[in-house]
Amino acid sequence: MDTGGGNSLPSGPDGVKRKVSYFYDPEVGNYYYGQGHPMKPHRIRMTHALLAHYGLLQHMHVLKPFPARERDLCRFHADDYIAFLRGITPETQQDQLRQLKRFNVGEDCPVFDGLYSFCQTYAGGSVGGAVKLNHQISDIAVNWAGGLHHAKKCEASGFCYVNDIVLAILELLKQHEKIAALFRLFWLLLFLIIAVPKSYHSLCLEIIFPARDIRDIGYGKGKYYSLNVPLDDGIDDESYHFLFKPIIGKVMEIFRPGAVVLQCGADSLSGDRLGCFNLSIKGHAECVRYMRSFNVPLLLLGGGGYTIRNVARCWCYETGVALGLEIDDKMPQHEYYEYFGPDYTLHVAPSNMENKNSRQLLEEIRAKLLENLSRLRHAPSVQFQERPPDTKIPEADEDQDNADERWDPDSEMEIDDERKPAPNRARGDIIESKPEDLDNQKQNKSSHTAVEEAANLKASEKQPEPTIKVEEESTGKPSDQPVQMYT
Amino acid sequence: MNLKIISTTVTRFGSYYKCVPVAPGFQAEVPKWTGVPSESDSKWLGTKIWPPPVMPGIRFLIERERVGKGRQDQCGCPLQGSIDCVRFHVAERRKRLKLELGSTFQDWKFDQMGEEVAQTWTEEDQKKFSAIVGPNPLSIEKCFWSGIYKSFPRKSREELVSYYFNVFLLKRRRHQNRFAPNDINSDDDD
Repeated sequence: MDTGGGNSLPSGPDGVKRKVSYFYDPEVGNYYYGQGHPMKPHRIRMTHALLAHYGLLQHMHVLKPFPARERDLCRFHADDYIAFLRGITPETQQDQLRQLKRFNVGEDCPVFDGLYSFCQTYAGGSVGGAVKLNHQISDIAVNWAGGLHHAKKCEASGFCYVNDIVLAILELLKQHEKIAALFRLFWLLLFLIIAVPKSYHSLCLEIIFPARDIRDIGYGKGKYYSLNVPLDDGIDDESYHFLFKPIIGKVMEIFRPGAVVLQCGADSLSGDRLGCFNLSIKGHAECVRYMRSFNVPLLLLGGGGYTIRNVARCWCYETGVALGLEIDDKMPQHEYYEYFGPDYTLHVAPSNMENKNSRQLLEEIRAKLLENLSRLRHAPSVQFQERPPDTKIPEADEDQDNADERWDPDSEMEIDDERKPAPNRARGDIIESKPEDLDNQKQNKSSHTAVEEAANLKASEKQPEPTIKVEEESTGKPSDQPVQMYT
Repeated sequence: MNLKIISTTVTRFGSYYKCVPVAPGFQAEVPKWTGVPSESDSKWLGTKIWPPPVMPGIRFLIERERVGKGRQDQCGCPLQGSIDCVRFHVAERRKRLKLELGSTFQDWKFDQMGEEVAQTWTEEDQKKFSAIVGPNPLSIEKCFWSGIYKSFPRKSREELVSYYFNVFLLKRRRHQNRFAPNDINSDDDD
């Protein structure tokens, strides 16, 4: 699909081939989160070996990443957090219990040998990829070690210590006015359009990396659109593409980002140790293929993925897709061949697990999202507006107040820790308010309300509903029941 | 309905998670877009490893295979798919890769991948390693790494982890592939 966004790539807009840069640190495979931990950097080494033996590496620019230094990481992270990461070791952690707790390190995000070097290298690869794209040396840049987007400014989270995606986006924003970031979490598709408005002195951009709750999206002075596409267990290739393609297509058409960051978490694959989706490798890779077709500079990053043989399969195949090269299903014998038995094939059939995403529900979600997107499109100009907080139902006059504050970069929104769900937001909404003028705010709200009212009715119920899902719980994972792990 | 959320717990104890409270602290400062792109530091381009620099007088003489080529359907081994057959072809392919990559083979540490890693390990040490990990590494009660570190004081942690992924797990998978193909598992193992 040609967006005609004027971002023709060095290889030419219609070229099948793309110039691909690939970042790899030969040390990465030996970082070890510890016994029992599902995150295994060894999967990146397995991917590398597969790429070599399929002959794909030889067709790329392969680079050893520049290790991000403290001041580079502090472009986003807090100084004291990075200093902590730099200093902590398995031997010294016993003396630092308070710090461990403060920075959320020690359990899901354990201390391990070489932790800081690991952070430096995976962040370096992502920022390096962004620079490669900025310099127009490559059409596509790949860093399978990156994509660890749960890390927060002042703490680790979800197996992630430093947020390489934020750092890469900040780098891309030096060159591009608008960036699209797409996160393929195992339970959610999240799009983020991050844009830097022209008429601001300084901007505190809040970048959202949801752990589990799509409503905890944050807000503030950030000018962005975020789009959440809720998905239930067992989603298969067909259902996924049914949502993914039309929605992305429209998003790309409306926003025309200068570059795209695609986080390729592989825990949405069938058979993942933690994930509960049912995508095939080809199905997963179809997203890469589709994003590639927009001819916009593309940064491919890793992410989750805990059945490591499938992660390696997936990322190897997706590298092939990035290059525009098909690879044989019968895997060549190589160093890690036995990991892939007994079939030793690249592709693995999805399971027969039930797809809990009914066609009807998918259609509703899709229709709603496309409709919301259309409304944006018909706006005379896309203005950036203060987005009301998601933590409470916005009252009619609240937006008026916010509007007055809108151009004040110094005021800061507070985040209410006692968060209530936002039943006014049906899942699958575009969270950004419509860019109409203020006079229409109330009117707009009422047009949202009709849809949201139906959603409200569901808000108090814990059981999943067959219609558009409103809240986290209705994915079939009530918060007080055991659920699968996150990306 | 309150969304008060509780802290996470690692999955070794089961497939539980609880949400972390999302705290403020996602804010990143973005400078104003002036319409003029600002420079990216070229240090970020990293070190170019491939393609290698052209060295005058040195040429790699190797017939490249078709990109994306997998394994042959048939091979001449007496027992196709056997442990020996696989070992033979892995060695063959590694030789070829070494010719193709030249010194990049070492740069990418292919010499420290796969069963190759066992070459610096005695038979006795390998047996000792397997005995400590135990027949059932899935057992979550047992942390075998402290035992491993104690028993191999002269080997670095990196060496031990490398052996674990490159040799130990590989052997285990090899066994599963042939004797328990419906029960393959390399991920719930540690």
